[in-house]
Amino acid sequence: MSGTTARRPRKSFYHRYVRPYWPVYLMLLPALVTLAVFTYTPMPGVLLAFKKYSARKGLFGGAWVGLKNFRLLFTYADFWAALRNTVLISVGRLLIEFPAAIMLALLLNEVRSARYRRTLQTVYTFPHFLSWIIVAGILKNILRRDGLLNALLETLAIVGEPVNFLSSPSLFRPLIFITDIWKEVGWSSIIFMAAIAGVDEQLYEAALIDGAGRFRQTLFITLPCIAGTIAIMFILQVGNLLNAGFDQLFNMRNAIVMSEASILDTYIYDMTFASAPDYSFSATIGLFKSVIGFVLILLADRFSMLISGQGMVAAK
Amino acid sequence: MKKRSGLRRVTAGHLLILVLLTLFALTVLVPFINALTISFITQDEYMQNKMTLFPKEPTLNAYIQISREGWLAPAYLNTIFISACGWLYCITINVLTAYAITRKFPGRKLFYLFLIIPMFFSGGLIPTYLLMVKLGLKNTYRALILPAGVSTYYLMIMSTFFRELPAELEESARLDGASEGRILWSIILPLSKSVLATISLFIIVGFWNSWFEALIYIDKPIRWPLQLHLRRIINQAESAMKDRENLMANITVYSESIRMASVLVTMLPIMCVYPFLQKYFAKGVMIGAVKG
Repeated sequence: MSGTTARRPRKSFYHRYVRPYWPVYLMLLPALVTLAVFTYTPMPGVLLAFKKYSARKGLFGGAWVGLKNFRLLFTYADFWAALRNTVLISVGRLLIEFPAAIMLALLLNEVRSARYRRTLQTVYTFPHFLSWIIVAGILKNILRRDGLLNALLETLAIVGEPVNFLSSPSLFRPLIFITDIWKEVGWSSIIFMAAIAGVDEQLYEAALIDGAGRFRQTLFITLPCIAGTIAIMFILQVGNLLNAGFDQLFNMRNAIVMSEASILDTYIYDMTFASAPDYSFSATIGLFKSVIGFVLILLADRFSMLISGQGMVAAK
Repeated sequence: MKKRSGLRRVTAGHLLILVLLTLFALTVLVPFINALTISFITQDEYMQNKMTLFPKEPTLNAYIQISREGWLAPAYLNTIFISACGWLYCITINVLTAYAITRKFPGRKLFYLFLIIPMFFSGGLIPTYLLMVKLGLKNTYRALILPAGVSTYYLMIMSTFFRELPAELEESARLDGASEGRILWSIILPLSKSVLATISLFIIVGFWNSWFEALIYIDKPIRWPLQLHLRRIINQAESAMKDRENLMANITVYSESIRMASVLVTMLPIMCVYPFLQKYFAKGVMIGAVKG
């Protein structure tokens, strides 16, 4: 490989950097081009947020308007509603769905038959591999006014008359949490299962000698031992706070619960593909979301550093 | 797995946990079984009893009806085509890149940065959409496939795996004068079958399930993937109910059987391979987890 370079006393740029490494650069080229074209080229597009959009003058033909789009955005009640829903749903996910995955991992760990545990896990993980369109189709069928769940509840005399699960604004948020748990909890628990499997066996033996039962063992050994994993996963989710789950909300929403189901991402979608789209305005919401999201991710990364000594870019 | 020796007798708490976990497994399974049943019964039987788990007089009517509507076969072919091309494209790029970043080359740090920046910042929906329109990719499958080429997550899993392979094999090949391409193809890849299978599954399932890009880029329903047709059928009930005029205007209102049949044909391939390939599915997150 360096046979030709050895003869020259002073290596040229070509012989030093290109000649020995060109196969590696060639391998990187497709990724480089893909990222450059499809990820980096759209980035300057965020500048639209500082322009006045005019369908006539073309995309970037509008005049610079500074922060006017933002000032306008902050006067819109729809925007504040979407932001509020985004935060409420994300925080709800952190407080309800996140502990559910840990709980499931802890419970699964108590199943002694490894075969049954694997079977259960296979079942729990399955819905993760289906799209929200499929899952919404199946769950909407179960949750209909005249669907299976209402039939079951009525037979058991739990409810007097059928519940409108899908189109009651007050039930919508719990519905979002429960259906997401149904779809994702099995998958989310895998990482905690892995952490539990790594706990030192001797700790349990020592606890047993000290007379600690299963519950105490779980509380004082398993949980502290997987605290690091829990913290990292929690922080990663906080960094993701403004992504409240577009796929789920987009497919579970309907006209009646629209005000509860509007999150930043669906708001951007609705604004962008409306009949008379104002691209500058959509870009403004997008940039707002990006900036806050960026700050959150940076914060999350710092915390992840503090806890594990590893940035999440490396940990992810 | 032998865990926590001693305390072998089954306690009440233990039994409770087993019952709870089994109940949850049923909660996951029953909706699918219910959907399967509904797809095989007539609308009348469905209206009579919501809790049938076994159809009294099974019928294939719903399946026959959706196959007659004309969207099913093209949609299947579209989805298969997108998934196959997408897989070939993604696996090629990600394998090449994952191997390349395990090498030492000048500018490596810079390339890492180039990979990492998109994790923190992106142009967002509108600029990306407008770029696609400008590049003339609207209404092409390239718009669905090309942007998905590089995945930091897959890259990380694969390059971690490549790094853990014994270095001696590669060194001896290098001494024998093998090129980088040769080493990757004849030494690294044959040893990486399991990680390739895992990533391939993720990529294929990802393309099979993707719908948003098709929704915004593909206008003609004949070019739609399965997922978009399913979405149309599921949501049709609501929009039909919203304005009664539609209902009067002789628009087919899909029965629950047709809806569930459509759900099942869309998820059929995943349903079929999942039980057998489940270990590969779980492996992906495990490789990621060990590192984190």
